[in-house]
Amino acid sequence: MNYAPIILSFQLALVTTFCLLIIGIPLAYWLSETRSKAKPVFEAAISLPLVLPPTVIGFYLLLVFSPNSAIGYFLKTYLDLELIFSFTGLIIGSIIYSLPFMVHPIQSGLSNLPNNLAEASYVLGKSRWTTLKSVLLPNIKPALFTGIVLSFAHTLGEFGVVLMIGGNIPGQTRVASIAIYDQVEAMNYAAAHHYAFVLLVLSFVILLLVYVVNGHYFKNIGRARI
Amino acid sequence: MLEFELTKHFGKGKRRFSLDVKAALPTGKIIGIFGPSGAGKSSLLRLLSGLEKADNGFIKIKNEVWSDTNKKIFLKPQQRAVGYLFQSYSLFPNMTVMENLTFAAEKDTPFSKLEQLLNATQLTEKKDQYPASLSGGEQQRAALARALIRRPSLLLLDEPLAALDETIRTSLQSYILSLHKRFRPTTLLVSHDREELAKLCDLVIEMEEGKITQTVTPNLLFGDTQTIDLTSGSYRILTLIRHKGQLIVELVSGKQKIKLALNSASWPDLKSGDTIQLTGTTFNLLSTNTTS
Repeated sequence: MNYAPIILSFQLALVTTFCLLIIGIPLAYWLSETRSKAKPVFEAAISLPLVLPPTVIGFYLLLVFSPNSAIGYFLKTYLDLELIFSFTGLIIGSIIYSLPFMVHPIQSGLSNLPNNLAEASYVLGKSRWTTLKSVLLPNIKPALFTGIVLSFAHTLGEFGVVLMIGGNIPGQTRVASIAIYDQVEAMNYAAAHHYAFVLLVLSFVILLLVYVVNGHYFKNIGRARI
Repeated sequence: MLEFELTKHFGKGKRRFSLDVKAALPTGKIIGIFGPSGAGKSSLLRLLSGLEKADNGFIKIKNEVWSDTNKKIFLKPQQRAVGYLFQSYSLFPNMTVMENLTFAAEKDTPFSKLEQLLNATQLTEKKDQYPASLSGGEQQRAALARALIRRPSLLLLDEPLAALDETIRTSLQSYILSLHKRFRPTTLLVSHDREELAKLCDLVIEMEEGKITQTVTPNLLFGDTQTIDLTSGSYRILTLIRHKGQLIVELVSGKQKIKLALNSASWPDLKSGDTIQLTGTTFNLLSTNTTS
């Protein structure tokens, strides 16, 4: 069995999750405390991948990244960056596709914290960044963990977006889910089964980990409060 | 002096609430804020701390301007020397008592100062414990120590003892008094408890519907059940305040200045400087002071 698609899937999931952490935390923080009238617009836009078929997102990204579009042309001409059929393109597509899985748990965790926790930190002279880093994030560890694991698992199982943007280039864009499709098309069910089984087991283990770790965390908190 | 003149509109339509307050208060004192729920007491504290921005007005403490809408000055909460004690303690759950203090302290704060505060709040033995394992009273003591570590010039206490039982409340009142005596921050204390305000405060601000209705000494506001028998005769009124159907008069009796509460309806036209004819009856005594 060729493990390259599985390794590539893991690489994609790792890089995407890391990027989503950097993007998702400030975005969730802003959404959790803004009183802006534009908030529902942002929330709806972030949640779109939950309801849209992945092929729709993939199709529009294909149009945007295409050298015929203004953005694609700019990237190609000035930054020498071609996003279609590339690993970088896959990462950008995956970030957009998995964004709600990172933002929603963190936003919900932050919104559920008592308001005056952040305010207490501000009146102690602490900046918003210090407050987020030292007070808010350490108190939403389960939400952070959920965001990280769900984003990772969701990227791991991605198919439609990857197929539309990345195609099926071995070693570059052929991730595990594409490899399964490829093997089924070639009637090679044994190989497809191998990939599918590995993904099934990994996804189950990851979700099990979320429930066990979060359950353990809340149990410990409960004990500490008695 | 702590001076402020602030207006702020909250909400819209039927939920609209306007705060319009003005006061000049002495620094270094404990000043109570008293009034019904929804009078704007906590909103006033939030404006003073910088957690809310006033629509109009200014805040000045010891000639330092914290905000002035005319001059477009607004110091963020981080830039004001404020200590804020919330009703729900708001200790950081991920930090031990000591970590809560070190997080709040300036970087160059000597360790001895932290220990001194822990000692003053009797939390030395609990310093390595997390807030969840402390009792309500201990949490509030730790929050008080944390609020004082930066030596705030203004300490805001928003019903800090409301959630505690009677015994703990009484002991914490003593903590507040002794810590105030030691650090002398100008302190604003929101409370519904008349006894607490009478015990702790030098002055009490009364608020109603977003406005300050009066600023008086606690005994003047809450009265006293003590009574006095006065000899019939004429007494000159030094000061006079009408408050909720009561007439609070200060007059001289022999070598004493005394404050009495009279029924306002019986004396509709009385003013300061007038002479009042009292006929040997028992009156509610508010306070007495020996005159020189």
